[in-house]
Amino acid sequence: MEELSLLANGFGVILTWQNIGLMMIGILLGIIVGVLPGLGGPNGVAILLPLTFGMSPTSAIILLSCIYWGALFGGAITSVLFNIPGEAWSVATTFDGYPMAQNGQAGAALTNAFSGSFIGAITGVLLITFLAPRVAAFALEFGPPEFFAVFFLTFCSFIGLGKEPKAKIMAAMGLGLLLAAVGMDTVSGDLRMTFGSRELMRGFDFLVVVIGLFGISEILITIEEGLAFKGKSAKIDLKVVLKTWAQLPRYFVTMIRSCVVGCWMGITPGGAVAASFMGYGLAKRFSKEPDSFGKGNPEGVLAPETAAHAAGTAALLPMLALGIPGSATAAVLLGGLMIWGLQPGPLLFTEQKDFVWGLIASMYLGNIAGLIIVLSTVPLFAAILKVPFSIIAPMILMVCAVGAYTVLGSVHDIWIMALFGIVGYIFKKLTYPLAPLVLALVLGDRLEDAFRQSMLTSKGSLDIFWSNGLCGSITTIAILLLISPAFGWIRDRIKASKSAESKFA
Amino acid sequence: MSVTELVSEEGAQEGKGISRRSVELVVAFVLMVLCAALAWDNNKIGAGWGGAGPEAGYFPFRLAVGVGLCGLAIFISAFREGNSELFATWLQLKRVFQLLVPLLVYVASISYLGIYLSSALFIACFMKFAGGYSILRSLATGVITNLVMFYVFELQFSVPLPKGPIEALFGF
Repeated sequence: MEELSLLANGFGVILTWQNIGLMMIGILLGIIVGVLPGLGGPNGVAILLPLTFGMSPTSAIILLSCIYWGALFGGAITSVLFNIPGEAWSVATTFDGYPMAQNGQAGAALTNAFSGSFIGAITGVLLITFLAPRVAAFALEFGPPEFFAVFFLTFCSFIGLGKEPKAKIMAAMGLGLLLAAVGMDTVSGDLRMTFGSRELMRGFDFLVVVIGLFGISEILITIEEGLAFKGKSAKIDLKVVLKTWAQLPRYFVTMIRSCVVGCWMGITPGGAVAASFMGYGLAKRFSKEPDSFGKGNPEGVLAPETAAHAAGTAALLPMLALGIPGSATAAVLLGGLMIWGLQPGPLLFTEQKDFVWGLIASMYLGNIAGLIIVLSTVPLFAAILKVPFSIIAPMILMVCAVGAYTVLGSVHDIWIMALFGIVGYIFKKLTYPLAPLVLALVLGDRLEDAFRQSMLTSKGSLDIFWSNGLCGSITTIAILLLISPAFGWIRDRIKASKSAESKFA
Repeated sequence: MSVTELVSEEGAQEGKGISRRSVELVVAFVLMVLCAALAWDNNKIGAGWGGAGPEAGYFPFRLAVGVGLCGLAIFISAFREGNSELFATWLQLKRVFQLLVPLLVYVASISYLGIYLSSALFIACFMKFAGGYSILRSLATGVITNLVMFYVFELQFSVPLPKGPIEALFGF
């Protein structure tokens, strides 16, 4: 149990007044970010990232990861009270959360949601604590071909598991990789895809792109429906909380199921959304009274929230252990690591022990603090949503503009942000997925380096990705994932033709 | 946050709008043109195998071709689907442009007026014209928000933001 002593060290690192203060600020900011339209996890972190450049990496990651937890909690508030999912993975929470609020049980629904989130997140953190160091130790042996294979696996699982049309997922991913390649090529010094523009020489900064794609576009989508919000009000008192908690043991099996599904899907990139729906679906299938789902069954709130947060937390595992983020927010955090001068990847666990274990310890504390804060401040945040959109919208746009500018201190970036806002608006409406695009943009350079180095070793032959058992099996799994949708398609075809035959026979 | 679930009574009555199919076709077409340009540019700097391994354009050239093919696939499938779904109703588009145009004016003005003055005017104008608030309340909200911003960024975090003539008057 070496992890436990390392974890204890981690707690030693973070238990200073300054870090605890940052944790509280992070969670409060995170809930605001999660509640407000246009500010979700990824771009909330992106906007605040430049403000942390002056801090020590440990304090900075505590602040930013707490914003992440806060945003996860905040998403549930809007789902339950306003029937507006804060993030894609809160969609399943609205199915039973909003009916509960309509029945006057908003407090119980929120308590269920927060408790589920907390349990899911803690399971995810436990998984990180014990599994991540092993994965990292294993990955220390990786060379460029293995890393390329893992990157390839990440992208293939997005394509294989994504619900969007496959061509659109691949197009979004390819665009992200192309955007990452714009500017000066680090190997040859050639200028790529700048078309003579001096502004494009330094390429596209992923933070600016994230703020545009997620922030501006969300505001544009929100404004489509006009300026009014209609929500239910909520009051949570200790009695409701205790009453809800007393009933939690009844749903023990549901929670276990959701935790397992969430952890599994979270490590697989792009899985958090799928995890929440699977959690909901499983709870409904195994329930004794499946008809009560959708009409305000607390289990229908608990199951997807637990799964989504287990997934959201587990998504940080590959980011820490391999340097490969499992979600858009994890991708932004990973970009932060690079800006603070830390090299993401398996070496982090051996070279930056204080940082890694400080972060893991802050995940435990952050979620506990988050649960307490969010339970006690719900009315406050519900009130924020009552501020008219004609005041909130320009303010959020201003914050986005400031965030885009502070990345590199360039007004040109604010234009890039606006441009990607429009792109994001159109992409969202046409179901081009944005998360793979951001992931590709963050990983692009390292993916290309790994590819080039592999190609150099093998003199241009793709055989190198099957040169040893490890690398070969990762590549093969990736390709199987890539073509897995085709199997489903063939199966459906066979079924369809069989049923047609039996009809005529 | 998204507002997919909000019911819009007006939107339902309005009915007509821009069709999803036409936007799909345009976006896929733009993708193909963009990728053609990118592939051409990468081919120009060398997308083959040089003396020291893959040339600078090797990886992006192949990507551009791949994305271009995806664009083609999207174009074809959108063309074949006779989908009558709407991308957005005219009313929705009007609302989007009512925000988008001021946003672009705001971004343009940052270079000249600095971010604080531009933001104050942006908030005030949007509140006045879109929200129907009184001039006084709109201006007060815009100015106070930006005084807070100035305090946080310039004085507390010492992160300099773009400044214009007004700040120069006070010696910043």
